[in-house]
Amino acid sequence: MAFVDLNDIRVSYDGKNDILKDLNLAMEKGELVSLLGPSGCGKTTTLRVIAGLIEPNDGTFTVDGTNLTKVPVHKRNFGMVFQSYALFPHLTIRENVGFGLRLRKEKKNRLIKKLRQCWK
Amino acid sequence: MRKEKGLTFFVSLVYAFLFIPLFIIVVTSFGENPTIQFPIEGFSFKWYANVFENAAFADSFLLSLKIAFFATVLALLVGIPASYALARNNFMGREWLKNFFLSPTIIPGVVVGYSLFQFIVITLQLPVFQGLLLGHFLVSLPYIIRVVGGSLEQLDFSIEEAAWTLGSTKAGAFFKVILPNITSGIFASFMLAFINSFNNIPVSQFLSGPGISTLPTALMSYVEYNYDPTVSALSVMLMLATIVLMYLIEKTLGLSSIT
Repeated sequence: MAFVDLNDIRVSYDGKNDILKDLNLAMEKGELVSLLGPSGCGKTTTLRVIAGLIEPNDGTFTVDGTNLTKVPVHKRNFGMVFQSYALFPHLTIRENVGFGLRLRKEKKNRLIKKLRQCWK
Repeated sequence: MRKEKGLTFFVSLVYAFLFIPLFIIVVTSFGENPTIQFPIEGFSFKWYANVFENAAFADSFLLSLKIAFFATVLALLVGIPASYALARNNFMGREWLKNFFLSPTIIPGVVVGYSLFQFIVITLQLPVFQGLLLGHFLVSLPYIIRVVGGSLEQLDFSIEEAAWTLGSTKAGAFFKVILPNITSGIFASFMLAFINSFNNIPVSQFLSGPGISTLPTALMSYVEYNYDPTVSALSVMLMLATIVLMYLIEKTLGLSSIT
């Protein structure tokens, strides 16, 4: 079994047309994978299934043998870079960068240290 | 050129039609004569003093303030989550539900007032204050949904998804990311709903009770038996308050985004 496994994934937004159908994708740990295809072929949908932003209609998504198909987004511990940058407009740059760390209740001195490391 | 002059003249007539009555009210509020007359004789502020000396106006002003404030707050508590659900989810019947929420603004006020009278007073038999609160909540809700909904439609929801991927729960992302980005919409909707509730007559007229009436209905009752410029003075004060609130809305969100 691969480290990241998408098995027979099916996604349909309207219940009639399948955006993804019988998608199988296996990725090993440390492997760099690029999804290439024309606009509308399902690249973003595949990433959203992996991130947990979309729950597939059928199929399973496992990581290191653990089934994450129905695990909520905030518990998956995946980082995602959005096409539209998705910066929080009401926060400063420092607060944007530290947003995830604050959610994990990082101690202030460790938070500042990590933020400084980001700036380098 | 001729067409523009004609249009300018027509627009001027429309503005005159709208503003001349208001101008007359302002002028008559300063007259010395105990009846409303235009042009005025003399100049006096005594009718403004009379407004504050009239206990009925003071009581009804406080009631209007309380009803408008609490009804608007309740409308915010219900309207913000409703607007979020309508903006965030694409489900069958969404447009119908949206129009249903906005319907009290389309239906004539008298019809809304009478319907609420039948439901709140006759069927539910609620006390007057609670009845007024419920009625004003129902007519304030559409303003919240419309304005907050407008703010949410302009929001890029990828920031919410980004918050989820960073470990925020959905509730946490709503309070930490969504709400801070629609505060101007919330503020503007509060002001608009508050003004609408405070100035509302049809609903208040049907739901008021003995000794309990809002300021607009107290004003109407006063005019039935008195025709002095106190009415004009109170109207000017209400107009000024409305102008100040609309100015605040314009400064925060801009009036064009809520029309």
